[in-house]
This record gives sequence, structure tokens and C-alpha cells, in this order.
Amino acid sequence: MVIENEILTFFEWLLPSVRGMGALLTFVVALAVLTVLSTILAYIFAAARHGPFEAFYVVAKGIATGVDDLAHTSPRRTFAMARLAVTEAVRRKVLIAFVVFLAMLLFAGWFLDVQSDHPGRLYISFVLTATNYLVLLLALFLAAFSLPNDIKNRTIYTIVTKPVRSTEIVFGRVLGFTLVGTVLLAMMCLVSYVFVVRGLDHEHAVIAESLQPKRSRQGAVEGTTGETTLNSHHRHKFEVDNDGIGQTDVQMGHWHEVTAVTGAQGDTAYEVGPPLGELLARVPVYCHGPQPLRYLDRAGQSGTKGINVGDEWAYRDYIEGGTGARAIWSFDNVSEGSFPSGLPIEMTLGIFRTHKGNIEAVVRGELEVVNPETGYRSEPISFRPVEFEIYHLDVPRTLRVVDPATQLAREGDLFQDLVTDDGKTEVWIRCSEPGQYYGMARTDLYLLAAERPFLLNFIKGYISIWLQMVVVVCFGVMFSAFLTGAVAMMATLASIILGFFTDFVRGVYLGTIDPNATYTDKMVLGGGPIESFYRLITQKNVSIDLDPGLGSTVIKWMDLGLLHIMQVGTALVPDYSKLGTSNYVAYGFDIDPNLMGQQAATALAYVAAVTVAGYFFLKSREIAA
Amino acid sequence: MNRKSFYRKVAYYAAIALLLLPLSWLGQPPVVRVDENQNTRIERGGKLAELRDEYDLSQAQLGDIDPASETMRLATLGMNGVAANILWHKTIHYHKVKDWSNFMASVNQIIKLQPNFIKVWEFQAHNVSYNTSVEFDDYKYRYAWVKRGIEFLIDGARYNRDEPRLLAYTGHFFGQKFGRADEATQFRRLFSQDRDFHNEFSPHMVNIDDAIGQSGYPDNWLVSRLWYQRAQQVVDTRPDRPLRGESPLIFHSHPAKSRINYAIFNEKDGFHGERARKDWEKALEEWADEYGSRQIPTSYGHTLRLNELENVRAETERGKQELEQLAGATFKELEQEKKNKLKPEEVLALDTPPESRTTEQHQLAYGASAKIYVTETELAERAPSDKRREADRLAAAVTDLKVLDDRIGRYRSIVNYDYWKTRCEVEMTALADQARQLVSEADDLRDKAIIVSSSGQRGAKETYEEAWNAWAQLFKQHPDLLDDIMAEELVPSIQHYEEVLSQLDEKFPEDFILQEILVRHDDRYRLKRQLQEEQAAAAAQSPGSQSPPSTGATPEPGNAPAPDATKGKPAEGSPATPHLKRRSPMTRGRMTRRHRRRRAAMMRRPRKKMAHPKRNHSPRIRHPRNNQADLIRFSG
Repeated sequence: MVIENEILTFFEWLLPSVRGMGALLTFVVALAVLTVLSTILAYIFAAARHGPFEAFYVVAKGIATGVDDLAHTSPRRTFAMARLAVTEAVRRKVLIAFVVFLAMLLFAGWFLDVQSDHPGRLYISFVLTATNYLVLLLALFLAAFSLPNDIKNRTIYTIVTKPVRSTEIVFGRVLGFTLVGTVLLAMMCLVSYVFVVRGLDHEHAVIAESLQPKRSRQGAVEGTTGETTLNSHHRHKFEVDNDGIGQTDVQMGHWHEVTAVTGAQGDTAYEVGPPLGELLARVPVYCHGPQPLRYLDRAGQSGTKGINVGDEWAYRDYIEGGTGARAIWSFDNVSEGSFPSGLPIEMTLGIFRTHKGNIEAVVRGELEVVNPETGYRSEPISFRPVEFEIYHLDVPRTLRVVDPATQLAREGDLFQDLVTDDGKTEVWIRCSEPGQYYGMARTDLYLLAAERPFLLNFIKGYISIWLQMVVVVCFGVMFSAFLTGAVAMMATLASIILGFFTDFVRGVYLGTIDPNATYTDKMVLGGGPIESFYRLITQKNVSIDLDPGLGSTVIKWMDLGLLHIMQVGTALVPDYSKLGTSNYVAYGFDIDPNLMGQQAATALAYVAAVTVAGYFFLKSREIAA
Repeated sequence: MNRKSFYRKVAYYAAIALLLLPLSWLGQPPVVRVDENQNTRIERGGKLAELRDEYDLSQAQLGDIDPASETMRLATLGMNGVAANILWHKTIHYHKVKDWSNFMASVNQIIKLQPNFIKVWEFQAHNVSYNTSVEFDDYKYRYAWVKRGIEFLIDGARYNRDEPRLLAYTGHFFGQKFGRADEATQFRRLFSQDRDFHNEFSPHMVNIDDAIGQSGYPDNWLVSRLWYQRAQQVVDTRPDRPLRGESPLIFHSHPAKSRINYAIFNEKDGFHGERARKDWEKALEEWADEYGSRQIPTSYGHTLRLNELENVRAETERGKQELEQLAGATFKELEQEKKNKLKPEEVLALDTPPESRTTEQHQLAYGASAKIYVTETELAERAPSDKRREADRLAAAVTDLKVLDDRIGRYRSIVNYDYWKTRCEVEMTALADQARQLVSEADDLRDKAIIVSSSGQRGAKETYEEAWNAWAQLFKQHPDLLDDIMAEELVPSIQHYEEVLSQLDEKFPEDFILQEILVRHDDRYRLKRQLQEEQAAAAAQSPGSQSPPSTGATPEPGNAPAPDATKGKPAEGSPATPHLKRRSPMTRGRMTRRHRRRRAAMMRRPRKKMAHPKRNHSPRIRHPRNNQADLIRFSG
């Protein structure tokens, strides 16, 4: 799976380190800046209304009341408000969203590519993405229209006339809508899981005519080979040993166990088990450290980059085969306790050929495990990777180890000889065939620590969606505290769109703002919103500059203003794409707890800040009223 | 106030209802009615239904109806173009980041949004079969992706029933992608045994049983031919589905070319004998009889048949003779009269052989040729007055025939009609079959390391030599083929023969019987000879030095061994490779690259303009250089 940005440990991410100032400090600084700015803004508004001297007291009183409200918020009253929000949501027929979701699942089979190489990925991606969008929309509508409707219908007065604090109103709404969303999400999760498991489940039978004895080179019968029936757009070939146990080849991302069963009359039948290997949650241990992946060039000299073979996507670097070029992954915390029977290594390497070679043969490679301190290395282990597929290789516990001083090999132990005392080791990869290249990125090779239940990972994926939903609810409630329903909805929607397209907006911003940006530097061509619109209606190619003149100058200035606003907006809203984890679930990788921790902390920070902002907005509205 | 609002609402509803009436009338569907006598009568329906019917725009007429596609188009509320555009960008992104599952899913979604946009099917099928398949290192994965592109096209043909371009494109993929890729051997093998894939389109689209090759399995070239034939059938029977974007001349040549390719690849796969010859016979029949006699629409506004050239020429000759009789004079006489009026230097230029003319004489001769050219009308003018009308009519007819002759010649040269005809005629002979079989056997023996004959088992060396004799005989009969890919394909086997000889410590014969093939098609051999000649020249220039000893590959200029009777007589004292000597090393480099390009072009469509520009204007196959003298000059 492609992971372009390294996942830091939770504390590396949270606290200041060599990698940056840390999320906590960033949050504190941002909070301080926003507090100061909003106080100044509040003072300006109050000054306009009450005069400069009284404004000071109004603002100070507001803050003091806020602190008091926060300190004296009653959980009982908050839950009562939450119950009210739930009742209101149920009255607004929120279950329709679930019905829509069921309808989508009913017809999903029409749109999903059932002949895909990996149908599991598509099924999982579909249910997670559909749920994500649907739940966010639901949260948006619930949160954005609730308070404005109450204010419009004046039902809010039945609440505010009671001894209820504004914090309790805001927290209660957030809590109530979150509860409703959580229940819906839980139902969707359950239905989705059943949909995925049932959708991918299928059976094969064995074609009797295809059964052939499998013979060794000496002619001895080693088992049976055969073919299964065509089901779900594929069929498998299989091999069963003389003990009657075997398995099929991998097709469409899965395989089956095949067992021979002897009947009452002594006849042998073959049973094909359920699909395996598709719904997984691999726990990868990625390389780590200041230089997690480094390269040796063809002369064996160290470097940080490999060769670019002309691929437009510069994710992978390549090493030349048949030379001294190597790719070296450095691992930390490798211990006997984690990997008692050796190192299970999985890799997905790219292959680039400069000549055809033997078309039917896979480009061979060699792997060595190296102790970074002593230089002891394992004897090369040969492997034949398949491009774009995960190749599994087990480095055994006992293996031949080469002494760097004498270059002599002896029997050795993986952990004693090739792993340092503090758990460091390196994996060296070499392409064996001259003229051919291997391509690799940091996460293309990992140690397989464990395989966790798919269901658990699936739930983790839903927790990510839940976090996004909570943030959207908070934004909706905040905007609805001072805007009318429709406008609050539009504002929340804008925050979602900005959050999902943060990279794109940043690209437009950088491509337009930087006057020295070359064509290749520009991430997104075509200028800002006004320029894009102008190009659209005049059918002007994005690579051609606008004709110089007053018109283009005005367009550029207007865009500049809008893009600055958009840039500030993207800095304020959460990056929803980073809160998503559907790819991990779809590609069969366990969602890293560190990543989940980071997402939860980010969401919590937004919830706290936005809810407090919502409270002040509501408070200001009450004051105005 | 409320009453006013009520009236306004009523007025709105009434207006909506009124507007719906004409819409309903316009959109009324056609209805089939059965009267008491069980006669069916179709009522045409509203104007919209009528127009849909007239232009075949209803989905049922365009192709299969897919509920998913219809739903998606409805769900996008007419914005399916925009949605397709976004998905197209996503497809490009997924292709860039090599996310193949999502790439294919996006492609499928695009097509559900735009099922009747033919170019989308073509583009994305090519994207999948050609651009995506090559991203995979394992040939089995490549095959799977090529197949996926073809399946995509087949789906396209279902959504767009009777669309000739899609049907022909499918045939193209079956033939060219499976048959000409680097992995052609593997692809052909995998395809022939991929019965699940066969069942996807057979028998409801084309019948795979009609494409069983000599191996007993379906052959990709024969399947390709069936798809081309289906496309052809649509063009022939559906005037409302005209052929767009491809010349009819090329389009109609595909089925026969697929048949020829099948015969070629069968031989490559080692199938020889009576059945192989029969395949060539069928190929000739399809090429010369079926394709040759097909009416081909031309850009001149009339149709022509490729195989009517001979008749046209005979008729032209007859017409000319009749005209001469009517006119009481001959073309030659008139030409001589005109020639007599030329200036002396023009006459001299004309009489000088072209290769001996100076630049000025070339220009003079060009102008003089135009001056002495006699038209049919000029000859007709000589006819006596009572026969003048008849002569004019005949002159016009002959002129028309000459124009037709020229046009057929041009069209034939575009598809290399004569070359393929000759190739089929040659390949179906017992001699060609024997020659190929011997080379194939010799290669097998070499692979098995059976080098020389022993205890009744024939060895590679003897088999090769027997094969070269057979090939020499064949080239003697058809010297035009010396320049052809057919001859070029022998080079690796000749190199194997050289290896066999070196294993036996024998020298490659200086008077090798097929030396001309090496001269024309083997870069390595040409360079070797060049080097030897340069060394010899250098040795000759240095006083007192002796000529370097011959390595056995090249006869020394002027010192060629005497040819035997079967090989003809060499040109006395002529250098072995006179044309090579004239080139500088740099020019040789350019020639090599050009040669490679030409070879690549010939692999795609052999014997097109690049090989022999002169042939494009002449239907004759014989090349001035390719004659028996050339063959024997280099054979000793």
C-alpha cells in the first residue's frame, strides 16, 4: 500500500522533536493567536455598539461569564439537552439516512467491478466511502438546522427561560447529535460488514476431469493437481499433497484451502474451503529512524536516493541489477519476543527492465539481513518478487551468517548475530540480473508483526469516520449559533469541502501566488477561481498565460484576495483526508494505533475549540437579542 | 389576499398541465396494435419517438440496456459529462500512481456514464490493453490486462450494437496485440487455452469453433478475422452504419490479412506440410479472390476492384490496337514524328541511357519525354472523317481505362496487394514448405545438440545445408523475395548454421549459397565484410605488405572462387559488395538505423512504400536490382 507520509509515533507527533514543533505546541500557538484575534474582534464589535470604554467591560464580562459557564456546566442539564437533541433528530426522520444507505447497498452490485483483481478492496472502499459521505451529510443537516429552527420557531425561549447555561445548550446539541450519528454509524458498520463478507464469499467445486497426478522429477506421485469450477468470474488451479491437504493459487486477491475427503466407498472427493487472504489486517513494522531507507549506488557508495527510471510518479527509487547497488531498510525495536520464529518479511517491489531478458522468468533478487554495528550479514536469500503483489519471505531464526572480517559463513542465530542489543537491524535488497532494476519506497518492505482480525480493523475504520462526524457536528452547531439554517449549512459544507480538498487548495494557492513558479513547480494550473472561470468560458488552455492588460491584472488581484481567504480557511478547518483510514482497511493493513491516536487528538482539539467558539457565538447572539 | 393566492396557484397548475399536453403528444411512444384478423399494425407515436426511431437513438436500438448505466446517468441529473470528466482525471491519477483496482473501477464508471461514446471505448480499451499491461513485469498479468482491454471492447460492442469501428478494433486487438507483442508466443499460447475468455464472446458474438487453428485450439489471428468479418458484414448490410475513420481499402483488407498472418504464425510455430500449404491456399483465396474482387469505394467517387487491373490492361491494349487501326497510324509513328521535331540536344538526352545522363540531360530528357508523348486523342485526330467519331469514342475509352489502371495500381500499392499475392503463391508451393520445414528441423536438431549425422539420424549441419539449397532454389524462382522479411527471418538460422560449423571447426563457406541474404539483412555480416575490405585496402596501400589472410566469410574482390554450374556465373572482376564500398562509416550508421526502421515497418505491414518506393507506382513486383544476376554475383 502506498503511504507517502511517514506515520510518526504518537509522542513524536505530539511533542517537539527534530521532526518539528509538535502538534501540541502548534495547537497551543494557534489557540493563543485565535483567542487574541477573536478578543480583538469582539472588542471592535462591542466598541461599535457600546463605545470604546464600555466595550472593554462588555468583553471582559463576556469572558468572565464564559469561564463561569464552563466551570459550572451541569452534566445533568447537558444530558437533558442532549436527550432533547436526540428526540428532535428522531422527529426529523434521521433514520432515512440509514434507509438510503441500505438502498445503496442493495444496488451496489450493479456498479462495483466484480471482475476486479481485488474485489475486496473495491467492496471495502465502497462501503467506507459511502458511509463516510452519508454520515457527514447527515451530521451537517442535523447540526446546521437545529438551533436556527429553534430560534426561528421561538422554541428556544422555552429552554433559555429555564436555568440552562449556553454551554449546556451547545454541549447538549453536540452530544445529542453525536449520539444519533453514533447509533446510525454502528448500524451502518454492522450492515456493511455483512455486505462485504457476504459479497466476497463464494464457493468452488473441483472439476473431476481436471485432476492429474503431480509427479516429481523422478516420476514419483507427490499429490494431485486440478482446477476448480468458474465462480464469481474466476477459477483456481490447485495442488493437494499425498496427505490430502493443499491449496489453490491466488486469484482476485484470495485463495482457498483444498482437502481430499475419502468417501464411504473409498472414492476420493476434493472440498474447496471458503476464500482466504482477502479480509486481513496485517500489522506491519516499517523501517524507522533518521534514514529509514537508504541506497548504495552501483559502485557500492552510500546515498539517500536511488535511480529515477523516468517514471512520472517519483514515489519509488530504483537500484540497478547485477551491480553493487542495494536498498537498505533500517528497523528498530526488533526483538526475539516480537518475532520468536524469525523475521516474516513482506515486500511489494517495482520492476523495471531495460531489456526483455527471459520474458517467462521473474527478475531475481537477493535479500540479506545485516547487523548495522558488527557488519555480520546473512548469506543472500534468493527471491522472485511479483510486481504489484505482496511477496512474503520468512527469514529463519537459524541461518548461515557471514563474518565481515573473514568472509566465511557459519551457522548463526538471527537475533544474536544480526540484530544489535538495542534491537536494530537492516534488510538489504539487491537485484541480481544485470540491466534490470528494482524499485522501492520506504513502506514497500516491512516486517509482518501479526495478523489481526479484519472485523476489528473494520471497526477502527468506522471510528475514523466517527471522528470526522463529531468534528462536522461541532462545526455545524458553531455556525448555527450565529447564522441562519441555510447559511450555516453552506458554511459547514464549505468547511467540509475545504477540509477534503486541502491539498488541492494549497496547490492552487502555491501555483498562483508564487511569481517565480515554473510550469513544473505549479501543482495546479489555471489560476484562482476567477481566472479559472475566465479560462473556462473563453476556452483558454491552462498552460497559456493570460494576455497582459488591465483585465488580467484585475482578475489576478481578485484571485489573490480569494486565495488568501481560502488559504486561511484551509489552515482553520481540519484536513478530513488525513482523518480517513479507508485505504488501510481496504488494502488489508491494520490501522496504526499511533495514527488513530493522532486522529483522535486532532478531532478532540477541533471539538474543544469549535465548541467553545460556538458557545461565545450563541452568547453574543443572546446579548444581541 | 388568500383567495388571490389560491387563484394564482390554480393558474400555475393549469399552465403546467397545458404545457404537459404537447409534451405528452410529442413524446408518445410507438404502439403495436393487433386487429381482429391478427394483423399487426405499428402506430408511429409522437414526433420525438419518430425522430428517435429515424436516427436509431433509442437505447434499445443502440445496444444492450444496462440498468446501472441508466441509473447513473439519471442520478447525475444530466451532468454525466461533468462526472465523466472528473472520473477521467481520476483515471489518469490512478494510472500514474499505479492503483490498478481503482483505475479499472473508474474506467468502468466512465463507461457507464457515457456508454454510447465510441471514442471512449476505443481510448480506454487501448489504455488498458497497451498502456496498463506493460506496467506489469509478469507476462501472465500482462496477458490478463490485454484481455481486460479486449473484454472492454466486447462490452462496448454490446452497448453499441453493430458499430463497425468497435468490431474492427476488437479484431485488431485480438490479432495485433496477442500476435505481435514482445510476448506474442506466450500470449498466443495463453489465449488459445483460455476457454473462459472464449466463452465470454462465443458463440453469441463470434463463433470460436470457426477459429480453431492447427494446434487444435482457437488461434488469435483466426478469431481476429471473425471479428473483422463481423464488422465487414455490418458495413455491407447496414447503410445506416457507415464506416468512419478508416479507409475502406484498409478496412476490407483486414480479414484476409488476418488469414495470412495465421498462416505465417503457424509456420513459426512449426506447423508444416499439407495443412500449412492449405492454409496458404485459403489465404490466397481470401486475398486475391475475395478481397481482390470486392468493390472498394475510392476517394475519386467511384468504386474499383483490385484484381481487375490485368483485365483493364488487356482492354487498354486492345483499345489501343483498335484505335491504331481506325487512325491508320501507330503511337510509335506519331512519337517518332514528334521526336523528329525535337532539338538535337534533346534527342541526344533521350537517347542517352538514364544512368549515363548528366544533370542537364536529365532535365532535357524529362521535358522531351513530355513533348513526344502521344495521347489517344492525338491519334484519333488522324482517323479519316468517316471513322473519326468512332476513333474519338475509343480514344476517350482508352484514356479512361488508363486512368483506372493508374488508380488501381495506386490502391494496390497501398495494401501491397501484389506482394501478398506473390507471397501466398510462393508459400503454398511444396518447395517453400520443404524449405521452411528443413530450417525448422535443423534448428531443432541444433537445440538438441545433434550436430552431424550419425547412425541414420540426420544432423543439424546436413539439414541446414539441404535447407539452404531449397531456399536458393526458391529465391531463384522468386528473386523479389530476397528483399523481403521472409528472407530476413532466415538470418538467425544462418547464424545458427555458422555456430554449428564453428563447433565442427569448419569455416563458414566463402561461396555460401544464400550470401545475398546476409548482405542485405545481416548488419553484423556487413560490418565484418566492410572491416575486411578496409583491412585489405590498407594492406594493399602499404608497400611490400601482404594481403591479410581471409577469415573465410568474404571472397576477396577480383579473387572470387569460380562458381559452380548450379549457381550461375558471377560478374567477372566485380567487387563482392560494390555498394558498401562507396559508403562512409557514418553513412553506414545511418543505413543501419534506416534499415531497422524499415524492418520494424515491414513487421507491421510488410512491403509498403518504404521498402520500394518505385513499386508504389508500378504493379510489377520485379525490382531492377533483384534479378538472378544479383543472386549469383554474391553466391560465388
